[in-house]
Amino acid sequence: MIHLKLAWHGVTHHKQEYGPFLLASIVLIAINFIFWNVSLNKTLKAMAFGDATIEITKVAIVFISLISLFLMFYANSFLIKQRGEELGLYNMIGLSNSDLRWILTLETALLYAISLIAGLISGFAFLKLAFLILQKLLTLKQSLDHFELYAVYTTAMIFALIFLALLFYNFYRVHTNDPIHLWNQSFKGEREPKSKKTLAVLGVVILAWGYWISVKTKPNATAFTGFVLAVILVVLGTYLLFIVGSIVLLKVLKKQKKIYYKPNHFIAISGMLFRMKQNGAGLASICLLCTSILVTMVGTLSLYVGENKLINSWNPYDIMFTTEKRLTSKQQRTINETASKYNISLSKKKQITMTTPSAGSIKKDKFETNNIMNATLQLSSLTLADYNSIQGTNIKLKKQQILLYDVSSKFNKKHITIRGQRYQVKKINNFKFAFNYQHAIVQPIFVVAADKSICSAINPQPEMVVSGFNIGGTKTNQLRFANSLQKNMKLSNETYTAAPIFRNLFQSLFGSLLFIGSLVSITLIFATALILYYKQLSEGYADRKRFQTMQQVGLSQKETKEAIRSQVLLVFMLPIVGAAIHFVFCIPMLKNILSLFSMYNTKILAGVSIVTLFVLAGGYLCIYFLTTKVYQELVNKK
Amino acid sequence: MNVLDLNHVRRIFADDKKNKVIALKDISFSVDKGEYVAIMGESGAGKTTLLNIIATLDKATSGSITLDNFDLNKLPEKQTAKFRREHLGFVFQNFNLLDTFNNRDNIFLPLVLAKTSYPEMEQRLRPLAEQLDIKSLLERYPHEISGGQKQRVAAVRALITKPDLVLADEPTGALDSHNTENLLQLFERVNAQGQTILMVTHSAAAASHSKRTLFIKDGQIYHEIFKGDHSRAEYLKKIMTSLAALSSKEV
Repeated sequence: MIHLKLAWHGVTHHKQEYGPFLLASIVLIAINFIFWNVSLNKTLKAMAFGDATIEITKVAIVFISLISLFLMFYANSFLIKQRGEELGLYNMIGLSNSDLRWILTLETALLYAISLIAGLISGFAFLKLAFLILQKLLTLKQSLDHFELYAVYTTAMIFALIFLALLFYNFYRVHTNDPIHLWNQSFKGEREPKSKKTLAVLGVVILAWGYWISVKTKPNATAFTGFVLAVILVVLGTYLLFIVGSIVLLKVLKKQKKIYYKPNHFIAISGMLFRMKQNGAGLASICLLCTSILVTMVGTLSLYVGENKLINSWNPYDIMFTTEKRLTSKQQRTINETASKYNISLSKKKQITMTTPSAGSIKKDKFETNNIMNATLQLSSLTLADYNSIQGTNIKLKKQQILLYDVSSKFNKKHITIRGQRYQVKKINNFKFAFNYQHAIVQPIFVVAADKSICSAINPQPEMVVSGFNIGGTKTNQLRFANSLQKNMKLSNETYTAAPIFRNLFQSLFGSLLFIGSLVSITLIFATALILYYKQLSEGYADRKRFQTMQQVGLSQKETKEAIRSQVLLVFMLPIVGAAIHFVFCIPMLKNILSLFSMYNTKILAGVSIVTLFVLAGGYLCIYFLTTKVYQELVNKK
Repeated sequence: MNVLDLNHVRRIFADDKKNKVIALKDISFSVDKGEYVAIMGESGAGKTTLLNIIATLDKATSGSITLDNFDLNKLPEKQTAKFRREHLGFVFQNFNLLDTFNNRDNIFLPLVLAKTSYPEMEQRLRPLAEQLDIKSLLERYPHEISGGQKQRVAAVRALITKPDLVLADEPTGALDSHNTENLLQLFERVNAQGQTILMVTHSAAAASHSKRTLFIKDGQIYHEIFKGDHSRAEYLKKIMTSLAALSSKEV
């Protein structure tokens, strides 16, 4: 009974510490619960591309579970440090270690019960909303709203395991501490950290290397490896710089007597110097969390917003396919028959002959063929006559003149050298048959030459015929037509592309990516807020005595406030500024990755980036004001 | 000339109308420039309250208190901090040195808050460090030195602002007898150079280094002894006698 009482006392008398812990576990449980419901949803499973959504959700579940584990451990290590004093006291006045274990067990059970019940209730409450949003994002007609009992079970199990792990960790902590040690834990004297210049320089070098890779990597098949390497380097560099670099910087500042011996700097620099040793890692984590929120949101939002552009760039005509020769009348008939079967109207039927694209890249004003791994482009050529008849234009070209169309309109030179021959370039802004051959990850580029011989001089690949037409009819019929046409015409996936199929795929793919990206971002934001809150709380405790002494010696309330503000602001600004810088250097990389999805629109990326950055900074500022208040209260508490 | 003047100072703590605690009933005394006054009394006699009021950390309920011609009751809340760092020096029982500063910066703290220039701070520190023998400790941190050394550093921090009055709250409370003796001799020396000191203490031995001892009981000045021309031993004896009388019930 006494154990239960002490456990209850422990939780209810440390609201400031346990409150956020509970809030975080409730949110995490609710999000886990929602994710499990999505991954188990039967309606989704029965849909054509529902599998994609479910697979993405499963990845997200693993990610969220890991974040939960990490976050709960972080919060717990803070809690057990604070509780150490109290448990030491219990131990001193005669409670045995097994009594302490009992108290901890009851406490953990209590916390688990509260978080699970509240988490599931809020999960239920938001499930309807979540499904509604997902339905909108996937543009589905039927409702997804369905609750799975199994989701309750798995969520409860995952968190039971996490809480159990926390409990054993706390047992270990209590076990390894003798009472005197327990008692003194909260006020240990610490040495001033050493300045490790070499490591700091290494941090700068590693970070710069990561940035350099991000900026320099070309959008080809190896881009993904570069991306992973850049991420690893940036993570490493960030930790090194925050942990070691910050101390080096503060020490340099401390040596500048004119800067150091100013009231605000004096308090902030000396305080931070000791703080950074323990908090460098925490701040680096916050910085990386913010960066990943930015990248996730910008990536998923850009895909979602740019969906139509992507479909148009892949499918300037609703249905497109390539064949070796011009369509036979039999093939024409098949198309017409399939169309009438599904009540589909056909319009703007066009055929064009061009050379089969060859992979390569443009260096300065020279096109070089590469193997597909290093290629960033695929170049195809067609005759001026074909071009004029498709576009309805009447352009004339000399032998050394070409028309050039590239989707991203990056090329802006007056001349280009292809296969040793120099041509004068006229750029065109519109080409109705600009399509992505074989849905390649490289960007298509089209060259229009005066006649056939120049065409094959530019690209000596065999000719192919590209056919395209638009279709009209109901959405369902369009999809059915697109699917059965491919079958009837015996076209392979590489040679056939249909807008209805892509629209369907992209809507479920990008919609679910955005849905899950947002939920993951919310979780990350909570993680950031929680880490910041506990950081502020522990600093408030550590600084209370410091500021009280300074007030006695002559620091006024107003100056205290200012000193706290400048110190807290510095701590807060570091990660978000770091995240913004990371993000800026990540943009070229992000652009490359997106262009693998044939997204070449920089405007969308820029717009989405700016909006996301502002929203994140706004939320971050809110957390700042809230936690600063807690900190001030703690410091001024007598 | 009086540095400190207290006239019928009264301090009542009241949570509500029923629960009233009279911490200081009626206190009047003054401290001359260059004096060294010890205040003795049992726990709960009101010593801490008295010290807090003089230190501008608390305000008297009634009565007047002037320090260096400033009426402390009329001193606006916002200026108390500035007042403290310009007029008062503090020596605490627990030293109250900050672990995040080395000893030099701990000493500089009140000067930095007063926005003193670095060369001036160094200039002020040099003679004091010499006199209190802490030159070799300046670059080290408080947790790296002994209690006696810490209190010397704290004393330098109190003196470096050239305060009108040094307030010492049980300065020897956490020191062993050897260090206690050292610190008290140091206080005497500083006082001999003209520094006014007001010290609250439990220890008769500590009080015997002062020039005058005031005894407080139940929020009132109960008794007062001057050292005058007496030897330290005689003065100490008189303090002990007064203390015995103070603690006996019939008073």
